[in-house]
Order: sequence, then structure tokens, then C-alpha cells
Amino acid sequence: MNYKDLFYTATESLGRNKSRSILTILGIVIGIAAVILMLAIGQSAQGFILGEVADLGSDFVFVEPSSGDPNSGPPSPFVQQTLDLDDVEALKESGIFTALSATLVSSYPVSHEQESKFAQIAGVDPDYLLAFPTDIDSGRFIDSTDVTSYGKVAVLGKTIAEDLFGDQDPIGMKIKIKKTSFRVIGVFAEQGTRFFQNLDQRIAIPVTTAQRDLFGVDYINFLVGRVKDDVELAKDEVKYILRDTHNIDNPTGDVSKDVFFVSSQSDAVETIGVIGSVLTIFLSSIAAISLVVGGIGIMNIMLVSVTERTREIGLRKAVGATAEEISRQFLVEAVLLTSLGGIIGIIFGVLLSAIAAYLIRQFVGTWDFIIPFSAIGLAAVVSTMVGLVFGFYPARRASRLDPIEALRYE
Amino acid sequence: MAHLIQVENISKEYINGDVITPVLHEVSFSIQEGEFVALMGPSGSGKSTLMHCLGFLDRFSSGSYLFRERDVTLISDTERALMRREEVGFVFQSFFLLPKSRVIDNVILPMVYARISQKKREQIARQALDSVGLSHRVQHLSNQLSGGERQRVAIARALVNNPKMIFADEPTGNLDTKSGEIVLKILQDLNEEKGTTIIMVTHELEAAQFAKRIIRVRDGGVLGDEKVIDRRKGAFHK
Repeated sequence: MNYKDLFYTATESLGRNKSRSILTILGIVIGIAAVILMLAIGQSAQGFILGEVADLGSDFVFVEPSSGDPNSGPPSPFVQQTLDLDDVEALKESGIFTALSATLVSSYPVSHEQESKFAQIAGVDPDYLLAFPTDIDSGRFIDSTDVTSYGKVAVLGKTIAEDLFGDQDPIGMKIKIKKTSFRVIGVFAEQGTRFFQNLDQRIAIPVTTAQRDLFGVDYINFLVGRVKDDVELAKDEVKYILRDTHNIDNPTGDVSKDVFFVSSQSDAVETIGVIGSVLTIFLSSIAAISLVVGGIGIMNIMLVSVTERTREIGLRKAVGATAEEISRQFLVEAVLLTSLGGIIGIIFGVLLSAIAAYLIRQFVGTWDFIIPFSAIGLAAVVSTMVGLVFGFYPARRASRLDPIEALRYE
Repeated sequence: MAHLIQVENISKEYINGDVITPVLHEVSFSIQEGEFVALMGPSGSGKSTLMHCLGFLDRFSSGSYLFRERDVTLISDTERALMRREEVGFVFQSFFLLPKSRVIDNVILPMVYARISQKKREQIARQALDSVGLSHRVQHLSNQLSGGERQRVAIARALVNNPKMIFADEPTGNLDTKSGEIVLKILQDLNEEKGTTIIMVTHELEAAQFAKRIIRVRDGGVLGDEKVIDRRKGAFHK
């Protein structure tokens, strides 16, 4: 029996049970579509996050408090706050930064007359504008006098300004944050999101005022600096200075002894890459499980088919089919089913990825639709393999039937 | 003339767990090329088992089997499949046509395994169908045919690989008298015109009388072996 005949015979007998064949491959279709969708979204998400980080520029250095865990996450209330304005002073004096911005963030109710909103309040210093170049729509930004004099002034994000003042010009107006009164001195231009935070709903106030009058603390959450020269050298320099100001004896550079964590854009890119890979593996394993389930469905139906067609197998053997030819016929049927499922799954997967990309774009603005060609190749190979693996047992069973018993089967 | 089939002291028993059921016991006979032999006996006599073993569908438990003077007693399963493909054809009581498939595809089936080229298949199949008087049924589906027609399709299917020998297992068992006689006549013509050796299993004397020779089988042994003197020729003539 040549391959053309095998293919023809297989399509023939699958076609005889059309609705069953379609139902059987549904599992594979869903599994493959899920794999494609997961990998497509995973790749796009990674691209998106990397884009966000890349926007910052490669000369960025972050300093955040740390309990010595090198995998420390974003600033969080659960990490002991160890950085303060003295650290900022010491780092500024070293001259390794062109800009160094200290930030303290929390959420508070903000009100103007009857309007009241919850907003993120960021205590910042004038360097903020240098660290994150941002346009001011109207008014001005916080200057060093505001910082040293504990000025009760605020710069509003575009959205929060509209929420509180509507069409009114907010400049010079008073707002209340918690119970403290602030004067609006400026409004940011539209900024969009950074690290998934909507900056247009943020209010910036002087970091000193935030510490003393609003939050009642003496620390800051994190430091962001732009480095003059080499980023890696600067990172080391920052560590030496901060160990000095915190009286940490750590000549070997053991990060678990430090109470802070210094990272750069390339570190973030690396971390995001790792997170992305882990996420991809995780999602793919879920999809792989659905493929195994689909494969078992195929095996089940193939076994039913072998039983149903026992007499046909007997006849084929009687007219001279060898065991191997019978086995190959059923294997080809199984592979045909799974690869057909694979093809339909790939089409559905790509379609769903495109729809998903479109929907996500409605929320985050820039989101690339990536056709995961590697995933398509993988899906094609995997669906064929599923057919071979799960078709093997039914095919062997068919091939081992005794011709006489098969012909007598009722 | 050379022996086509020569069996000596062949036995066959079925083993099912601890139970051993003897079916054939030390049977010996030979069949020459060009014969039309009826294996006749009541059900349970072992005649079908004998036919299956002779037709390479099953194997004897002991004894020796020479086919065209070649010892085929111990050949492998694959070799037996090749023997079925190349040397013999089968006609069964319940036809065994592929369900929901065209008549011509049924006839083509053995040629698929014999690796006969795509072009030749259709031509050979049409010739075979013509020789059993079914040239008008080529494109029909197998389940649209009457019992007699189905059996004639099965005969056409048995013919396409030009077998030395055709085994017919109760070919008229599921047919009415008239259709049965047509089928028997076709077998008879095949034997006489093409010289194809035919071994037919039957329990009806009327059917056996179409053959040239009757081997009577009973309780796993050969009871008698005689020439048919008053041969029946079917009322049907092409």
C-alpha cells in the first residue's frame, strides 16, 4: 500500500464519520489554539513591558530599599524603608548623576469644593522633570524653594485636574489632600502610563512636604537617577556611598548585607526576560495539558473505530493486507485527525490573538500583534506527534487482530 | 498434473485457556490445479476451519501443508498475508463488502495492497465486474445492491489479482435459490473457462453438485472423497 493509497483510504474512512471526526479533533483544535494564543500574548506582553523600560533610557539607575533579597520587587509598604533624604544628598554630592529624583508615593483622598477623588500623591523634587522628562501644560513645576520651604504646592495630572476642576483653570486654586490645603501651581501634559501606573491621575507635591505634613515619615520610597558615564561603574559607586552613609561593613559586596538594592535598565530588561520565559513556560504547560487531553480523546475514538471496523480489518487482511499495513492505515488516520486539528487550531489561535491584541490595544494604547511563527511551527509538529503517540496503541491493536476472529466479529 | 495443494496428517485444535477443542484430526488429501472441489459437511464438521487453514487465514496445529510443492506449514504471518494477496481469493457467506462505498472501490481493494498502478486498477476492476455481469452497477454503493449482486461483487473482488485458487465459504448461504445458482454458475464458468481452482465450503448437496469433486468432512475427518458424476449446470447462462 503506497502513501497515496494510505492517505486516500484514511480520508475516506474519516469522511464516513464526519461529525464524529470533527468532534474528535475539537480537543486538539482548542489545545493548539490555546498554545498559539498564550505564546502570542506572552510575546506581545514581553515586548510591551520591554518597551516601557526602554522608554526610560539606558542611563537609568534605580535605588530601592531592600531586605537583602536580590529579587526585590517594586517599592512596597512591606519592605522596611531604609532610604532617606540624607542618602539623596550624599549621592548628589558624588557627582555621578546628571539628575537624581527621590520619590515617596501613597494614595489619599483629594478634594476641591464638592469634588472628591482618591489620587496617588507623589512626593518629588525638581530633578523629577530631569529624570522623567515631562511637559507641563500650564503653570510651573515644583522648584527647589518649594522643597526647602516645605511648600504646600501641587502639580496635577491631566485627568485628576479635569476630574476636580472640569473646565475651570486650576492654577492658583486650593485643593485638600487629606486635611491639608495645597495650592495648585501647575498641570502636567498628558503622560499616559509608566509601569502600568496612570500618571494622569497623579498629583506631585514637594517631597519634604509629603514627608513632614502628609505622610508623617522621614524616609523615601525610591530613587531614580540618570548616570553621567558608565552605568555599571555608577551602580558600584552608589553601593559604596550608601554603605558608607548606612555604616554597613561589606567589603565583599554581599547584597544580602545591604539594606538597599541598586539596579539599572539592563537589569530590569533581564528580569523581565526571565519573568516572561517563566510565564511562557507556565502558560504553555497548561496548553500542553489540554493537548494531552485532546490526544487521549483521539486515542479513545480510534479504539472505538478499531472495534467498529473489526470486520473491515478482517476483510482487508483476507485480501492480503499485512499487519504493518493495517497498523499504518490507522496511524495515518490518527495523524490526519490531529494535524487537521492542528491546522484549524493554528487558524483559530492566530485569529484569537489578533482579536486579543485589538482588545488590549483599547486599554493600553500601544500593543503589538505578533504572529508567533515559532509557536505555529511548534503547533504543527506537536499536533502530528500527538497523532503518532496516541494513534500508536489503537493501530497496534488493529494490526494484531486475527483475520478469522475479525471476520466473525459481530 | 502437479499438486496444487497437498496436506498430510494435518490437525487443528483451538486452545482456550485450559480447554483444548480438537477440530481437525489427521486429515490428508491433495488437490490438483484446475479442480472444483466442494468441502461438504454439517456445521461443526471442521470444513470452514480446513478452508481457512488452506487459504492462509489460519494455520494448522500439526501436519504438513505443501502449496505448489512449497512447504508453507511454518511461514510467518506476513508471508501468509502475501500468499493471500498473490495466490488466493476469497468469497464469504456474508459478502464482507466495505460499508457505504462504491462497488468499484470494493473490487479495487485487493489491488491497493498488491500495489497495482492506479491506472490499471480501474480497468481490471471493470473487466472483473463485467465477467460477473455487473457492468451496470460499477458506481453504485455496496448497500444499494441485492444479496446476489453483492456476492457477485465479492467474486469480482476475489478475481482481480489473478489468483491460482478461489476459496468460497458457503457462498450461497445467504442467498435465495435463484441468486445462489447464478453465483454457483459463475464459479463453475470461472473454473472451466479460466482454469481457476475452486474450493467451496458448503453444507448443501445441491450446491456441492456444481463442483467436480466432493470431499465429505465430518467430525474433523474426511469421510468420503468422490467425483461428481451427475454434475449440475445452472439454468442461468450468460
